[in-house]
Amino acid sequence: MAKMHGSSGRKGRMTIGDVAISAVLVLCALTILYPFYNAIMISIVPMHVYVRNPAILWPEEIVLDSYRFVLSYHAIWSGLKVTGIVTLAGTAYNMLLTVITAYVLTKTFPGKRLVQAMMIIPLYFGGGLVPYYLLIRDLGLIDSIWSMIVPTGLNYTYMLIVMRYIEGLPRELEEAAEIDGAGQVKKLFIIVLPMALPILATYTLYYAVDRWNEWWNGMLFIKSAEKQPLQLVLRNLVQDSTDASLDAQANGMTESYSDAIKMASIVITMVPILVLYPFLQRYFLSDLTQGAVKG
Amino acid sequence: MKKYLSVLMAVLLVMALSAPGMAEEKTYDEKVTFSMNVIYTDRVQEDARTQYVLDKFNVDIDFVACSSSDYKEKSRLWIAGGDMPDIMWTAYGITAPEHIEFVQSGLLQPWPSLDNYPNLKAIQESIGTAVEKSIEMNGDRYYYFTEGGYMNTNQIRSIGMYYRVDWAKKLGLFHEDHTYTWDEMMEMAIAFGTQDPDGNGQNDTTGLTSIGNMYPGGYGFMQNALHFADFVEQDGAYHWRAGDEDVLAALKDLKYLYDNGALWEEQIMAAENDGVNRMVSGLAGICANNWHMGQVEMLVQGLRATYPGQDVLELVSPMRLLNKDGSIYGQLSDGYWGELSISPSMDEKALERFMDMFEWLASDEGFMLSAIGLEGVDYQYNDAGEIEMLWEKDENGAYVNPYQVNAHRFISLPRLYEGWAQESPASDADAKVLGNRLNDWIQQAEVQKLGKTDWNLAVLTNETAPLYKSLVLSPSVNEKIMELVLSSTADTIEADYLAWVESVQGQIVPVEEELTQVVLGK
Repeated sequence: MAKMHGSSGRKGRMTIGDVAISAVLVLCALTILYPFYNAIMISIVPMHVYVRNPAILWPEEIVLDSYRFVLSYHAIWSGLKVTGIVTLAGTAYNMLLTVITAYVLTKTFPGKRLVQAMMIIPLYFGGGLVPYYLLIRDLGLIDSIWSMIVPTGLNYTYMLIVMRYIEGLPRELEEAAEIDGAGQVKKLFIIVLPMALPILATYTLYYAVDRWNEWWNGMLFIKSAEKQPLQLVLRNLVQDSTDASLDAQANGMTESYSDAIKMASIVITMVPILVLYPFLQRYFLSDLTQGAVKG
Repeated sequence: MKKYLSVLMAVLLVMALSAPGMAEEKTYDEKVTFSMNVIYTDRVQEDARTQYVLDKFNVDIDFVACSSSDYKEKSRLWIAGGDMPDIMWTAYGITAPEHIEFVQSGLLQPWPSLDNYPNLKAIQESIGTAVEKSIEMNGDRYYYFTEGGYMNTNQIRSIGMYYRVDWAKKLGLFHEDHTYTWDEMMEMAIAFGTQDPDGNGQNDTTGLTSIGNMYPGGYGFMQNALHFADFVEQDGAYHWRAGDEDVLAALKDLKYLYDNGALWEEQIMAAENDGVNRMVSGLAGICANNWHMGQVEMLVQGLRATYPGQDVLELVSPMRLLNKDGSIYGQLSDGYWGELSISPSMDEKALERFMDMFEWLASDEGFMLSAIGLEGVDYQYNDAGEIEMLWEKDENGAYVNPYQVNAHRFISLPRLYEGWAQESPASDADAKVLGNRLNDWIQQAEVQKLGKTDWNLAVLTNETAPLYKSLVLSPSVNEKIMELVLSSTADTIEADYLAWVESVQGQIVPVEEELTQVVLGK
């Protein structure tokens, strides 16, 4: 047995409780990991193997026709490019609005309550889909990548947490900067933001994930196939996988079939996030405590 | 006099010399641009055949992206937002009241008269006068119907049952002419589901399966109780068929199949192609489907992968399945799947160019482009005038299509059915044998079994617009059948079903009365 500090506090021994907890956690991990593993398996086995045993543990036979089809599908690559642009530009835009708004709301000024009300009311009431479409149209954003960036603005909850964090920072530094003649903009960017880096990193990540998953505005406002975001391309491919398999088979990729194409698409679009996640994990975890301490 | 005669002769000479020029093909010097939505947009745009058409007619089309799942939502938004593409494609999902509203609000432009476009006119007229009448308002046509997608001629919709020939032979159930009565098919399904026809000792085979949306209707209701969930004219009034004797008989047959192990337990939850995949994977003995050529080719190629080296024609065949009254099931279909409409803001020149292009796509030449491709690139004619394919072949001898199949959403748009795929040299040889076999039998469907509920097709007829709200009850019949097959016993299923039919009469009777009054004028 691995030597560790068990719940009994005695060094070098795992208690029955430790074993039980570990077993439960391993089971949870397997339950979470297995669907990913199964998706990979389905994407690489022939149809008759999958249909006979959908819960594949090990592939008897590997065929890569579905990956050949998906990787040759231009929309995946154009979608990746569009989503990359939307994620980078969108995250920068979201964070800029969030930081500025959060900082301003830490100050006292006439009409502050009105501003806060104007931000809260749209959380509960919307104009509806047609007015939204008309607004975006009148802004000249139809069929523009900016239609997936500009309307997203800021997330009120994220902004609130950033605001609370800024409120919790020591005021003395700001006051010292004021004495030295710094204006609000200088105080924000030189004093406040460097101290708020942990929370900014966390919510940059959250916004980045939101932008990466963008598909709804793309579906509504994008008319050109080459401007569709990756998640919309993926959604279309998954929903039309039967027709996609007709294409694949007619083009000589005879071992591909609809479920394999679906899973291959999902695996391919998961890769960027899977590659980045280990490096960004600590920021996700740090957020669990940020809100509790500062909120 | 001589002078006048000379002038007249000169004029006639000039006219004679210019006559060949007038009969020459139109040229398009000025490029026009218009927008049009298509599904599988990227495939359409990348297809070389699309580019050929665009170059031929000197057009630039802004293809507006939509998918098969979001075109309904988007088309409503476009129309509401005044952002409709110049040519808009829609399909089932836009309701008749919406269509009427669009026309009455001036949101659509009437189509030009098809008298100047004989190919397009012939295609639309082949649908039938009921539909013809239905798409007009105030004498103007507002829709052009497209893409029936049925493999067979004469727009006959049928349900093909493909079955495992080798299993039938093994169990002593095979008929050389592939003709089976309904009862023989049921017994075969039970045998396939219970007698281990694949010999692996695992009792893992399904007797009868289908594509997802064909259960339960295609399991005897459509064949033996036509219009089982619809309102039909009977004895001078409209009547809801759900409680009729033949429907009850079909219900009991389905219960019999279920109780005797012929059905797949997961059929009720099956997604679109799950049942067909079981057939391809050697786990199902009989599969019901509309079996258009794409599906048949998928079946053939899938079976080659599952059973390498075996002759597919020895593995499967369609059944020549006789209904309980000895007839073959066939129902005159709507004949179309989508409809095209024109934006009121479409430029006149662009519309004229679109019509020319569309007319050409509906011609024999256009047909060859969509069916095979470009002469000299994809096919050529030999000395005997027969088509020789220039495509590469795979290891099974089947042609490898260099194009995206789904690019047909644009280039075969004017067409209603893909019947020529059964004869095309580009199609898989084994698939053609099987597809033609089934189509030949379908053409034998007896006339008295063919029928369509005209009012179902009325897209724009004012009188029938209020009736569509009643169609929401039809899916309920399918759901109730599926529920009772699982929950009732063989002895109680008929009584349980009739109790439900009785319980919904409060909703049914007003619809029957409305239909009788509006459609029959009584």
